[in-house]
Amino acid sequence: MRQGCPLAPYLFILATDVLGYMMADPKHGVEGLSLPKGGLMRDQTFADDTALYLQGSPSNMDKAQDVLKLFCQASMAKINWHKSAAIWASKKEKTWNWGEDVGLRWVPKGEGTRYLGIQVGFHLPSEANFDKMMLALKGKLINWSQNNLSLAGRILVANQVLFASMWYLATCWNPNPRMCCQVRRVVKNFIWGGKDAPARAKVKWDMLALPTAQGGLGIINPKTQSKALLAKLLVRGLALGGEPWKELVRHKADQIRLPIHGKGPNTPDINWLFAAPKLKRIQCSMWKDIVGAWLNVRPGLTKADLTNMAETLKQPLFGNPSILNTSSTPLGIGGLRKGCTFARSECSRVKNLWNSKDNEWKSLSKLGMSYHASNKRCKDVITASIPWRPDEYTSHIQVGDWISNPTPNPGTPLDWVYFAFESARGKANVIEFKKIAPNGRIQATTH
Amino acid sequence: MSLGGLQIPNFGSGSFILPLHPKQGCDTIQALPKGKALRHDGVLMEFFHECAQEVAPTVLKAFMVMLNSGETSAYINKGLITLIPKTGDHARLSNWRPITLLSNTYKVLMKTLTGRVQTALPHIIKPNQTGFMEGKNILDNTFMAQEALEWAEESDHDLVLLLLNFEKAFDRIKWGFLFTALAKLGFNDTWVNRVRSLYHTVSSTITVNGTIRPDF
Repeated sequence: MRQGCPLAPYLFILATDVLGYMMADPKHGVEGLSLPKGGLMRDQTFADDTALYLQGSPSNMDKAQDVLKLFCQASMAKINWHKSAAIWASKKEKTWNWGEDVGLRWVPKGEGTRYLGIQVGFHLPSEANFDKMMLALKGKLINWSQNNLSLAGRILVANQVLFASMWYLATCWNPNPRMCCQVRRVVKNFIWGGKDAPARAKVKWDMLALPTAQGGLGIINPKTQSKALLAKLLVRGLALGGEPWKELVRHKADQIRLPIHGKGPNTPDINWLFAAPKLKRIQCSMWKDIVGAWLNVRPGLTKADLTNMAETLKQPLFGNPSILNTSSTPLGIGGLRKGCTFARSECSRVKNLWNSKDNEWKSLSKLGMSYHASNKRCKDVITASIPWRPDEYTSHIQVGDWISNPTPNPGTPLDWVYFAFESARGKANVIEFKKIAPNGRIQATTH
Repeated sequence: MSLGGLQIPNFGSGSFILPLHPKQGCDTIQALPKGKALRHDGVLMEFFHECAQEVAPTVLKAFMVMLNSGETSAYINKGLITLIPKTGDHARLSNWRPITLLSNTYKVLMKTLTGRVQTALPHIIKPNQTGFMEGKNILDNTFMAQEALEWAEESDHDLVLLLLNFEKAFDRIKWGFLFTALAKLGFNDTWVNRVRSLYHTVSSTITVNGTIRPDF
């Protein structure tokens, strides 16, 4: 392979991909790990870093080794068994030995081994990763504190160099507050020029963390950043695609009742994440962190300044601060009886309510909802316009049987979309889809 | 070669050998980074960026001639190996990392070919490979490893997670194996032969203390 050639990496993964196909070949009969939703995991590769997920029995290990031998024979690749590691994960104790002859190392329970820059291990304490990271951070600190840098320079180093080792880790691991504090202390010391003795901070940390436009120095806050990174993991994990790791994310999301029902097991919509989740008590601390991080970050993810129709249509219906109900809280799926009906019919964004072909709001029947025509108790109104294009005022529509049209002045653009839901007590309960105007401001309710 | 009975979904790559369009050339040039070290031919990427419109058709024409005839200019194909110091004792050769600098013309050529391969990759490469693939992330691997260990315990599976270390994988893969694999994966013969001929004429030279040594 030629280094530096743009084509080489692709040729390389094409060649190593053969190993994946060989592993999956039923002829060899290598058994992998069955995943919660019926998937199977046998191998995963990042460039040349390969991890095999094998059903734990000596005969299966032998089979896998045979395949590896075959692959190495054909491709001239060579496995460095001394630098490879194996981790046993099960409720039971391992009762057999394998791999001593080639020098394979078994990582004991509670200990970790380095895999793609992160410590991985069975029952690995959270501190293991943190300690390694702190070591790396302190090493960098020694190098950088020898240079006489200006304050701006030190901030740059802190953001770009010191924190870098933490961000990589934080994308799939959550530091606890104590750890964040520790990192903050070390970085603070560096910024204020403390060499041996701890330096006295001249400005409060919270001030430093403000963006430069607001008078801060734009230093990244480890706590906020790690939350955002964890939330990102959840978003990516619940996005479309059937990769095995997503299957595990979804399995966990099911367990803690994150509302992510889509049409099939592999097609949940990210938008679901905007729905206020009804959380079951989460046992696993990591997942508590992930979901906690998500809840923290979620409100900031909806766009406040909508400038065009396309953006408005993309807005989520639930958990969106621009769309409030009568009690001035965003619509959540959990607290709303009909919200679940909406959700189940995959109606989760403004665009799902909008019929772009006819330029009008969809009727409930079109949304796939069935309401009884006899239920006339709900006399509330749904009227609609396209507030972002007031000149193209469209006729308001009747939605289903239970929503009537209050005859607005023709030609007057309406700012509101009203939806009526039947409340739990059988009383009409108005939910307003408040004005989603180009300026994004929410106006007072009038009904 | 022991790939005989392996079942791999065949992928047609007829479009790979269609002539390159000048616009593709321009797009490719724009995608390549500027501000890199000077190569042995002295042509900077900045030049290609500035003159993309004028240069692209001529360059692509030359490429097509090269690809069709199977003869690649040894000059374009030359690589300059430079040593970059790693940490540790610099009297030891193992503490120097060699990097190969390839001419920018060669990079433009290879990048146009790469663009076509990239479109096909998602169909061929199994989702388990996360390196160099768009939309994939290294964290897919680390997260999977962590969660799989937990899942194995939760679901009462016995799992062995085997983390393999391939020795100098990038350098060791045999060309014969690669081309057999490409053919197996359904890459067009003509295309495979072109890649083969491009790599066949590769020559390299080493710079030591700023002077360029003879080719080898």
